[in-house]
Amino acid sequence: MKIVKREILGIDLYYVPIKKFKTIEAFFVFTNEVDPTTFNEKNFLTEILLDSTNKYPSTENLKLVCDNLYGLSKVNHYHFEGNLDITMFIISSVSDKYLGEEKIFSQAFDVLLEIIYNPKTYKGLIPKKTVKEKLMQTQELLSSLKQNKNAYSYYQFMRTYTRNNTDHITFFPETKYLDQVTHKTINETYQKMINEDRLQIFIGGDFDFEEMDELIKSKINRIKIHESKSFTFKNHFNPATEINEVIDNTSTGQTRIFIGYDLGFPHTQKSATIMSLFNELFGAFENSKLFTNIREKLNLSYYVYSYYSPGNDLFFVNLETSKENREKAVKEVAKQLLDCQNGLIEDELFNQAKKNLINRLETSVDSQYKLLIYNVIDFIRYNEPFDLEKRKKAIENIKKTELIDLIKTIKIDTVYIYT
Amino acid sequence: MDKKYILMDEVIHHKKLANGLNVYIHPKPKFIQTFASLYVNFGGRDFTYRIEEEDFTLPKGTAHFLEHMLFENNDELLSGVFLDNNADLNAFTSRRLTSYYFSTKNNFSLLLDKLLDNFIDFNFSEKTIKKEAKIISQELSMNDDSDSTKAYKSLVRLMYKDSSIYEDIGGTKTSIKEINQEVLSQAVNHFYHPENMMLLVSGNVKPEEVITQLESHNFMKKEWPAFKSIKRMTDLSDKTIHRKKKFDKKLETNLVEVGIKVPESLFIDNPQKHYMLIDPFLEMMFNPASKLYKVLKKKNLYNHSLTVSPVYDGDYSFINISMETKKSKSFIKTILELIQELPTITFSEKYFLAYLRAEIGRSIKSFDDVKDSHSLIESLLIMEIDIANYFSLKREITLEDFRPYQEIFKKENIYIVEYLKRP
Repeated sequence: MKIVKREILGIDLYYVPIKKFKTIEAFFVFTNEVDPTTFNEKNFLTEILLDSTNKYPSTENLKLVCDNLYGLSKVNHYHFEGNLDITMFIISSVSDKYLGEEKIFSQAFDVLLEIIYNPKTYKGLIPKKTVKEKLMQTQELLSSLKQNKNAYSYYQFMRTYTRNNTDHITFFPETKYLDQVTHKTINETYQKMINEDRLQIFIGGDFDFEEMDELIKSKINRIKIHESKSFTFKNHFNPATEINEVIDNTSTGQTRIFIGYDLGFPHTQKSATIMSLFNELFGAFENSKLFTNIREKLNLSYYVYSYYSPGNDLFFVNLETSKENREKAVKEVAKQLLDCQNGLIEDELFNQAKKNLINRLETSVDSQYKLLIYNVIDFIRYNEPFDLEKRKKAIENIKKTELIDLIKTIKIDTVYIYT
Repeated sequence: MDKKYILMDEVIHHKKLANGLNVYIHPKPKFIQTFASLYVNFGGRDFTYRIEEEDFTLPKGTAHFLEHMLFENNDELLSGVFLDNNADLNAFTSRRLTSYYFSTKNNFSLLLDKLLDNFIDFNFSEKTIKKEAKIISQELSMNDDSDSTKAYKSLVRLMYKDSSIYEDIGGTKTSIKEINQEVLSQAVNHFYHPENMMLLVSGNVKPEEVITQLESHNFMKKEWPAFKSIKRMTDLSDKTIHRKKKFDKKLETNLVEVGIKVPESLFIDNPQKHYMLIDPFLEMMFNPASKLYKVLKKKNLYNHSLTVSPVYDGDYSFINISMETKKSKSFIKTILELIQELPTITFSEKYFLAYLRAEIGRSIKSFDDVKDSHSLIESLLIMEIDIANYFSLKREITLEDFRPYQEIFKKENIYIVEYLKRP
């Protein structure tokens, strides 16, 4: 699979040709510098745009057209990737040849353009009523957040863990700015996205390049073309000066524990790869340090895992245990990390973790969506396509000593206990 | 081996092996992964059953406990060889069955052998039983720690007399203490038999090779005793109390659970038809563009927690509407008015035909992912839907088929549970 890059009237277009899939997927990716003050607006906006358009002014109308296109699926993703703000609109359409009908993808592409560039407006603006509805629903969601103990504890932990990083890491809904959301700010954010953000288009599936070029050219007049900006991905986590321990005693059931870490080393493509390997052996599979010791040996928890997010340099451990085992569990997680930092990583575990990571990358060729996402992210972070062979080699070449050297700087930043 | 086409380039091979095991294989040669699932017709509901006129009982949660134990059968860790081959091995227990499944890119034959090795002889040590009891106890505590799960369970308990419908699949902390070697042995002897199992393989395999491998495996060579069929009975008789309120000062928001029973007559004679109709019917009735959603939005009673889902488990069926809301009183009043109007509404042919096209598109899309197509075929096999006719059955659904479903929205079929925050 070779990524083909096209530039049509100033827009960067990437074809990810894969013959075996029955669907064609198109991603519109908008990128800009992060602005946490408009994070809520962007979240609302992506939802509002997918609800209705000028041509299909109700949810019912838009659903009808999508259903008629054999269940055209449309989703959005919005998140911060280091210093960059990423908004994606994605459609997945069954390839014409499996339907015995022509131009299904062409019509699907029209719907996507309609969603992005022709929103439902009143006097040229996204209506006040729509924004008010979204705000009310969000307020209600916030007021009942505590009911879902997992979501509540995760949200509270993340806010504590990233407290020194609110300029580039935030979580929806960002309560600090929620009162400032108005239909005016939503409209401004929308205009900024279509007029200033960098646009990249990724299309994956079994299609003819020339035919796709023609199709895009025939529709390009609907896209707002402007001078393309370039961005450099930067990523850093600002730790706290001392460990922040929060014990929230308001839970009525099991104890949820989150431990967030400061990695203490700068993000590079290489360090991210090594850290992914460490995450794997520490807490991402059944033979990992945490699973083997905390669940299987000590029976402290039904689930325990670690999670590493290279996009914003976050690394944390989450587990659920009984109230009486709380301290024991926290101590054991600390012990396991210390053991790893002292070099107590079995060769078998190290090699198995490597094979797991490689295996996961290799199986991505069975998912068009994953391949497209991997490409989008690699272009954003490193300005290059996803290269499976290069990634595999990078993992294979990691030495245990360099992993141990790298993780020596990892230290606890936040302990959040909901008990 | 017989084969059936589900799409022009998607074929399912089937063979019943000499020991009674039904094997289904869906080759996907362009993909690199393979998924295999071994299903045992033994689930959370099976704590009372009858074999040849004799009644048997098991502690609640035995099927789920056995699922955990199978990972350490004969004091061997089953997951070891799977982890060595970077395969994902897991299992789940539903009310009706237990499924052991794995996915792999490497050494499929070796792993299939290993999986089946585990289902020939059964030997569980008391030490492992004690260890698993602790882990399962943690799992049960997690399940008990959700208010929405509690409210849902209350609804099912209000709707049905039969405890096999509302009891937790994993049992209780008390019932799992009764599980010992003797109990597990009874469960294995009654349920873990090839005639009571099914194997489904999807992915990068050649059907003939899989069958040849299976036929020479010790699982096939073993002299299995004759399988004695298992009889289950489900009590679906009506309950007189239809509404329940519970107050809890720890709640943040009120929880509302509404259940609408589907009468047995709609699925007892033709469960396949019910399976094919229940989703499209609900989609037509309760999609986000429907009148119900519009009215709730207009009255400011809608929020993202609203879910409407069908429950169909072969021997009982209902529609569940669930909501977390501070305005529970108004929500219940409105939803009751709205659903009791449903018998008289007329569906739009235009929206229905569009929906059918969408359903066909979504089913085609599922073949782009080995896991998704594996799940689709799994549910068709479990429901005994004719795979070759799946798409034509979908196309043949008419609005007239929905008529009897509209009639279910009557007072006698509706149940409501309110979990209210005590002021």
